[in-house]
Amino acid sequence: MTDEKITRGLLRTLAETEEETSLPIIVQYKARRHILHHRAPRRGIQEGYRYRLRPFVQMYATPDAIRNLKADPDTVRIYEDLPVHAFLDTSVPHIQVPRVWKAGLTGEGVRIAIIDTGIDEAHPDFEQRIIETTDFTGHGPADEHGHGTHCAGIAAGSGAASQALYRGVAPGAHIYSARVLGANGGGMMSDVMAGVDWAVQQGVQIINLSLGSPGLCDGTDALCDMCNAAVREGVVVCVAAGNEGPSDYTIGSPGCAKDVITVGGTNDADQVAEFSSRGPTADGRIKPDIVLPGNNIISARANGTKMGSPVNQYYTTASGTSMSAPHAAGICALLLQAEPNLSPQEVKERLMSTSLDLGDTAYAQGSGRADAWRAYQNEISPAPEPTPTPPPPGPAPGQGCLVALLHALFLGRRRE
Amino acid sequence: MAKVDAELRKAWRNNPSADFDLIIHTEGNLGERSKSLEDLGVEIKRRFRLTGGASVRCTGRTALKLARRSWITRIETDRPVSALGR
Repeated sequence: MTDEKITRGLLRTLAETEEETSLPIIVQYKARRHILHHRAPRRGIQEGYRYRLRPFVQMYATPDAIRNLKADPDTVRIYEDLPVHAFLDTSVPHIQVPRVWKAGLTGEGVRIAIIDTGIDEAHPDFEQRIIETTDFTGHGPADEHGHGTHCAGIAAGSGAASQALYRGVAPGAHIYSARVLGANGGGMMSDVMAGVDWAVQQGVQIINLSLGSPGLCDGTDALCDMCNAAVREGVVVCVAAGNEGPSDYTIGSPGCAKDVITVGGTNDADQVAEFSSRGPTADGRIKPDIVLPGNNIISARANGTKMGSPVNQYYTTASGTSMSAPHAAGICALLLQAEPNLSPQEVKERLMSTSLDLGDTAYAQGSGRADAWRAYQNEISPAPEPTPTPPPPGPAPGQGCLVALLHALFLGRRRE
Repeated sequence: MAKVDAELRKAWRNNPSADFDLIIHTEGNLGERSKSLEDLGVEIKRRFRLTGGASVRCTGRTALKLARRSWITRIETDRPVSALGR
């Protein structure tokens, strides 16, 4: 249902509001002189602020009074006066997280593990929400690089050090941090596996892995095996797709693991970022599963670290699918607060089936760009167009056509 | 799926005295196999509860012996990983 004078959001609110309830609204008149015509008190309206620069008036009005305002020829448009939140960069409102907050969900108490370079436990954005930390590098759980703290801020930062300007997706979630990467941002697969093992033992509900190794991957290596085992234990595992795009077959481990949610990156234009790794996997499966913002994301900065482009003492800007994955982890936390009994497979399916088609191939965007509100509301999106399987990478000269043909014959199945 | 990648086996043969960081997948309870691994000269670095495997360090010569054990289902290299943000 649409209405030229009443915004769609206000129409929805009106439909759910009892007649005696006053709603906060902003009325736009044709000109300031028209506002003066309405000086006399009107039934069901409590007038508030009159704006100087534009012909707007803030007021509280009952549904009946709003209908009368709509019928007034001097009224141009009526807006719902919404609560204002400040956001982590622009990505959080872009994926409609504030609408989910408005519904009362912040991921409160949902347990997210960030398996990364550690975390700055003294950062104000995580105050009293870091439940447990551990270290598998031998250098202690503190974040000497900055990457883990940045990812934790995207998933679950409160924005306390920025008056909530840089607030993460699930600011009520509980944080578990396993340090598996060193001060240079690197580590070994076995340490990451130990981190996943530890997180599952801690009883976390979500694991974020913004890390990986490059190279073609069929999802059978030890790290993928560990991630799939975590999912079988009931844990949602969100993994960065990698930054080896735009070529096909560039999703490494553990992004290629079958049961995880593999997350590619989008840019400021809401298109798949060039750097975002593309599928298919070596065994022909579609990956990534979804895409989310990963470009110029401002989030928590670990004290004294130089990662990204520092904004101030507490925040820094960074890009990559590392930044996309914790957006997904945060959305999962919101979903699990709303519906604690969802299985990892159901959470994944919810994110994928409600994502928005960006018009790219399935090997670039997966099911599309995820949207927190649509996932929460379970608003199913039309399935994107099927994508032909690209030829496999690096065939020997003269063998390309044959390999591509065989690949197309055996692996060229349509997206289910 | 091969128990050991041909390239990795070749590396062990070519460097029998060099140390290799490996991840082993095992059948059954790894705890019961620990003694057997230690007797072979394998250093167990980490045990994985969820998957039943372990990360180990041993020489190429030992790795070749390890690959002949029936209860070891797969051996792969412990690879570097890195953060994916910049």
